[in-house]
Amino acid sequence: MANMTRGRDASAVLEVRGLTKRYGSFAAANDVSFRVYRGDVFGFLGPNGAGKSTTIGMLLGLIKPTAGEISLFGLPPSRHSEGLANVGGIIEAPAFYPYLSGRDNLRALAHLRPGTTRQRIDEVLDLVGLGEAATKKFGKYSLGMKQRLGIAWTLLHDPDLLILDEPTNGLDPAGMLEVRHLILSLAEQGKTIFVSSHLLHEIEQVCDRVAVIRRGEVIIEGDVDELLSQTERLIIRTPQLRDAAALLRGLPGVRDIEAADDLLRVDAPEVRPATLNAELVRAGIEVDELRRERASLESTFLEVTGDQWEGNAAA
Amino acid sequence: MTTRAMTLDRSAEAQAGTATRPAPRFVDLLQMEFIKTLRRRMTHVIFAIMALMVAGLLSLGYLVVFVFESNPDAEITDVLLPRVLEDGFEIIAMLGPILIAILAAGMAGSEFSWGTMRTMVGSGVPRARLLLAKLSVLAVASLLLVITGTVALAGVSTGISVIEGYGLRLSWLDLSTGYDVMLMLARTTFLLLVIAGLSFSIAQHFRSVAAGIAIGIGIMVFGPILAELAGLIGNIGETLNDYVITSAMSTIVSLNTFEAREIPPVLPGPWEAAATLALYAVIPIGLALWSFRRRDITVD
Repeated sequence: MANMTRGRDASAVLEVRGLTKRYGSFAAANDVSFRVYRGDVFGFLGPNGAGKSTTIGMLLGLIKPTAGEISLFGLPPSRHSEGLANVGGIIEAPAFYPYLSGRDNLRALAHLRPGTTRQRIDEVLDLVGLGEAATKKFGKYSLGMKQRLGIAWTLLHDPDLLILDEPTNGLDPAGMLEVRHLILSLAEQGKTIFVSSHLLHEIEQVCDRVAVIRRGEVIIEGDVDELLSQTERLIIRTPQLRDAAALLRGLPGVRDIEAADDLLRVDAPEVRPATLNAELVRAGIEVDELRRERASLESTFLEVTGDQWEGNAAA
Repeated sequence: MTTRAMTLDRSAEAQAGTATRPAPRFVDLLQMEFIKTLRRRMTHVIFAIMALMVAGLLSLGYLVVFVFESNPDAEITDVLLPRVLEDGFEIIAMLGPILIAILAAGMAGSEFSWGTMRTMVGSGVPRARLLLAKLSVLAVASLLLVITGTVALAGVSTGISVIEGYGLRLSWLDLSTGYDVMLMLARTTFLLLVIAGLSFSIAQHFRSVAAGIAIGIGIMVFGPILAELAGLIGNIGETLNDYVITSAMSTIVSLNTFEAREIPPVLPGPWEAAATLALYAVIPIGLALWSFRRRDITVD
């Protein structure tokens, strides 16, 4: 997992409390709360239209919340724009001037980031793989190149917190992989990264903490490993399915057993596989296979909400 | 307990201290807006149109009146410096507002249609500072547009002077005439600033280039019609006419002479006209600033 290689400290870089945005009677975001700690790669997941961009819009000061508070780097909400100076963010499709080249766009916008040097502009363009296309006009960029320029813009002033809204939108599989690697390498440099996506598997591969938003409300928040462990199962293949099931049901720590074909799917997060194996062998039950079934965020979502994930279908 | 609370507070302060970075200064934003405006093709086209139209109209007038002798009463000095500036600034005051309306609407509305406003505002830049930087660049562009027209006018007029055998004719240049020219330039720039401010504000408020252009051009087209209609409804209409934007503009244009000339009685007085025009710009700019600071910048 991504978080195995990184350290995280307990200070919240971004804290959102009861954030709500209403348009008439429609709540685009309703009582959204979460914390992003220093060093986190925090995934903000939700199907299309769930309220991700509205929430990010509020984080970036584009949308005024109806209620709730946002604290960046421990600053009071009244000093939000000061905190934003240390944030690099893009929301939805990266937007730049179509008549300027990628480099000139960054040169013009670098005035919003005092102290940015021309050398830094070239550095970030190289970092996102746009070094050779730097002189091409933004209006002629492909969607993937636009995404890369968006990421370059977020990195320009070397901020502590990056907020990336669907950064792999429009990228081909190779491009998506590159962005994932970039996110991981930035995290290893100590950056805190908040990344939104409607693609669960994408988030699963890079994030160590997630919040899932649906219909404007955060329904799941936590450590990816912990969330996945909730839906992790032990798979036992045996010719004596009925005997094995009867035995395992009586063991402490076994919460549920599903039988399917010639295998059992055992929900026993606190029990070691070796312990189960020993019990089965002691009872004379042959075990052909014993393994952990890797859970996914999708199965966690299904278990928590009872709904199918709508996001992947749209991808 | 108190010690712990103090430690936590200090820790939060320290964290906040390392987190904050300087916000862009007004001069940074000015530089950014200048780069964006200068590099935009629309800007080049607008300045080229001003130069070509002014030069073209003066050349055409010279050809029709003096080469083809359509008006035997006309004097050649009317198309030579400095007298040509009187009619010339009238041409600039007619063309300039339309051109600056397009530039102003583009500066405000395009930021929304391209989505670049969210890129900028999302960086934490103070919104009011950003808008004021844009308006400042627009003010400079208004002045430069008038200067461009004036230079084109002076260039063609000098050419005519040479063709007609008067040479470069620089003898008219003295302190008094120079002062008059500066006043003409300032008055004409003021007219452009009003339309620029109005178009910019409308484009900014409605987040639409078309809305800004429509108001700028609409005023120039429908203003005189409105003034005529107002004149038809008696005293109230005449009073209303004083506050029609094109009537006030006509007053300012009529001041652009080297000799004292009476302002036609149907037009408002100079100071009344200047105040009316200033309000036409200041009120929309104030409203645009207010709405920009308050409204959400949503994703289209």
